[in-house]
Amino acid sequence: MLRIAAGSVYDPANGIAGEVRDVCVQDGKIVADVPAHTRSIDARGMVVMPGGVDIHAHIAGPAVNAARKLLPEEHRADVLERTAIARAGTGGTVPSTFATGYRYALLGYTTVVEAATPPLAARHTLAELRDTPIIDVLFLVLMGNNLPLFELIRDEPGRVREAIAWWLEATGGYGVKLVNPGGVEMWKRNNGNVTSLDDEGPGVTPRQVIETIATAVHELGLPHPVHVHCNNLGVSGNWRTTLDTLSTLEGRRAHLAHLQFHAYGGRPGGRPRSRAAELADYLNSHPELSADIGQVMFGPATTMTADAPVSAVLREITHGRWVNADTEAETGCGIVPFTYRERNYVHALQWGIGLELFLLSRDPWRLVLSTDHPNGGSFLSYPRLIRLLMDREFRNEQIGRVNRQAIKRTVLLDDLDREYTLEEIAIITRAGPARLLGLRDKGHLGAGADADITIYDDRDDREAMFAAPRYVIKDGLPVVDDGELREAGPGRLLRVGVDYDPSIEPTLEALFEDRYSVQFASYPVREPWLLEPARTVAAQGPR
Amino acid sequence: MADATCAGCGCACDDIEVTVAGGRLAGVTRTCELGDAWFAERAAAKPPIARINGRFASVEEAAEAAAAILRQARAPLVYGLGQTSCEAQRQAVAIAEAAGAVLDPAGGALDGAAGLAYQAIGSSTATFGEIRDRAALVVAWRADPAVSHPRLLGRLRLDRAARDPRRALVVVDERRTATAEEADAFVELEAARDFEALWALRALVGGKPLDRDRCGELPLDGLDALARRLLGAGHAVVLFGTGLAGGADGELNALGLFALVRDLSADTHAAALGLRREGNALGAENVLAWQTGFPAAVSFARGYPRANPGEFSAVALLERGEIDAALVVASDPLEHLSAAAADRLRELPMVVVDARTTTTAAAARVAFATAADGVEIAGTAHRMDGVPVPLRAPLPGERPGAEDVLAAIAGRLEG
Repeated sequence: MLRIAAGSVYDPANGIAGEVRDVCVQDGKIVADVPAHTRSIDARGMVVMPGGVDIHAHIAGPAVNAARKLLPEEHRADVLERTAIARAGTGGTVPSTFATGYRYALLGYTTVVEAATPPLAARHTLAELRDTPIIDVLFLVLMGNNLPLFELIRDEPGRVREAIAWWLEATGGYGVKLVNPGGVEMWKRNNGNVTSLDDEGPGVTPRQVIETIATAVHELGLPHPVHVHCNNLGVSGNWRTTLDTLSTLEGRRAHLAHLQFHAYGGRPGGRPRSRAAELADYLNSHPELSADIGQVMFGPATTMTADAPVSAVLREITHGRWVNADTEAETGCGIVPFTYRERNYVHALQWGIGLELFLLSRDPWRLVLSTDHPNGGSFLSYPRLIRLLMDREFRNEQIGRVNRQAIKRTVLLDDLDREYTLEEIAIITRAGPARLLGLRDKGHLGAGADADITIYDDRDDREAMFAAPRYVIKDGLPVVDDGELREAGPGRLLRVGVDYDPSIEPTLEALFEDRYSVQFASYPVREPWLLEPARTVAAQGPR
Repeated sequence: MADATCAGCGCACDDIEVTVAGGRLAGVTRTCELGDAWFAERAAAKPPIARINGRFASVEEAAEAAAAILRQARAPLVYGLGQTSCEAQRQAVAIAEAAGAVLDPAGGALDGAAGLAYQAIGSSTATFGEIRDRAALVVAWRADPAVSHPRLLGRLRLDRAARDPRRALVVVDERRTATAEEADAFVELEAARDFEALWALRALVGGKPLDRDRCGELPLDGLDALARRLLGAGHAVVLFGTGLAGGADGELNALGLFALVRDLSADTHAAALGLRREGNALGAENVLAWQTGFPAAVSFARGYPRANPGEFSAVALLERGEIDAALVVASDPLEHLSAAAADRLRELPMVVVDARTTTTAAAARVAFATAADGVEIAGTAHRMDGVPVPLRAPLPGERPGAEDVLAAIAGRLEG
């Protein structure tokens, strides 16, 4: 039992914004009250929020591990020593698994989404997640370049729903991810791609893939809507592709991944411009849509994506290290280490567009803070990003340092003087993403919620404040106390529970025969040490 | 009848069926000769589960003795790992960390080292299904899968009988191998010329001028023809193994190959696949990489992971006499290391954890004869193309597996 006494509480899901009140914990859950003699944390003058929820990051699995192996110099420069409670590790932009868990926890985050898992490699991703301590984790399953699914979409679209349900159950996944639907398949064939939603190259059009799968996800009543990395990421003029994708989704809920990378104006082949205002407008007027920003932060990053053709473009820009890994029947992977520079027009424009999206958005509940870690920058840069949003003076100072031509292409110089409040920060880093993920026990401090709580010193320097929480409580246990790691037990897997018609299995088995090189019987994960402990979040069933 | 996965080589064939009668192995289907031997070795009668100095001991006593050896050592080595499950490999990393040891999987010694080349420029790779279904050209560069990975060509539909006439298999090697007998073309090239040949190919595919007078030792006609095939293929994959990546020039050769594949990638979809001898060689590197950030030659001597191939490689450390105790897991280094390294190892206090009776186990101070991963103990292996496959337990096992034994040792070191 624990009482967090007299902190300024920010619990937007329950309408609390700075009220001084106690938060009480018992048996790992928030409760209304605890006995007077209970151990108390004196939180006077401190800010109390639910634990952070990162809706889109790359922290585990074959792609992440391939990146780890590529970056020994980053690991050499950033080591974590073994202690009585913590395993040794290394950091940088792609930390080892133990380091990932500890550092997210030290940052006040308690739930993280691994955003792109090839279902064929689910048992690898699960093993890495089991070695990621403290935080609760869930993963999204890549389905947008899946060859058996393409055949079903073309020939038996009504059964796609059952297939998706089967795939989620077979992997322990939480939701459905589409990455450049159709484009990665064209890449694997012979370095191709798709450029419009109506390209027929893959055998089904991207539009058909998006429509059919979004409908299936909707009908299954999955807790998180279809999570879409649109076609044409990074391409000048891609805002039209993004709007085309959104209109295809019309009426159905969807979450757009790293929206910043999909908000470019300009002509294809020409210099990118900003279309953040148009996309922010569209998002504002379509309540069924949500997005995470994918903010670029200056400094080192590692781009890693299932969108392998994008990595080939980056390779030609950096002339540096490049990894490509084709996964049969399902997806690709590209990795290119990258540095975002203030003086570079494109990088500064990307930075500016991300900020525009944040500052122009009118509904913080549907816009989530992310850097698409580590693509736009490490999750360790979140505190700096928060300061950029909350501190107009600091923001303007930074704007003054970056490529001028790029900033002129944005509206940041047009008296965009909005400053995010602590309540809004609490929404875009915890309450909002928890709601968008359908995690009813996360992201808030009402009775019955998981006791995942972060307590910050209230400091004027918001970067310093958010970089070093005073206390972090996970399932009611203080894991960070006075800024230091105290406990480092395992977190839990969050997975979706969804039924499927078993008649889909012989259909899939026949489709697997031609496409995969593993036995159908080997494919589903059944190993209890990988799947447990887990909490199942039930799908709502047919809508 | 029960499903099984054979981990006899990096193919990790998961379509094996095992017949069990009276709790014993009665038959296996679909295995190649390596797989037959792999199952037979692991289903054979075993010595006592734990021995100290050759005398029977309990698992607890032996775990305590093993922990004592590691605790007392100032420079212990944890070695092997490629023939055990990912679950056991995790325990080995925990032991190395607790003991301040160096951990180096055997894959570096057995398959050669492409790690430095990867760190320098990265690489392009593809899983079996991609190669089977899309690669119009496959080059076996100083690799003889017909012998080293007997089911691979068949699984990739590259054997002569099954190969689509629009696909081609080319072998580059010192002499005509069994794989060359299945191939469309053979380029004879001595091993010492690999780097030059790969660099010449880079020039040929990149349309760069090549001073042919200075390449007199290379089979230029064969390389010209290969360059034309590579450029015209649309999708090309190079298989390589210890022949290319082993030996003193292994890292350079791997760099040459990865650079060639990258050059090709401008116009052609190209990939390289390293053939691994052990069933879970890649798993060992993957577990080590996700837990420490580095895939091989990791030292925990300072309390945090440091890696430096060459400095912390097992062979180098042993040859320089810088190791004073060893934990060998599912590996027989006395049979495969250099004579100098093996001689040093033989002199050291050794703990061996293995399902087989090996030369190294016979020389150990503390030896555990465990249940076999993939035969009596379930787990995970990473196939050599990165696909994780389940290891099943078709035979009932009464003794602990490697994971349990290693966990018992780790527990005694944690305190």
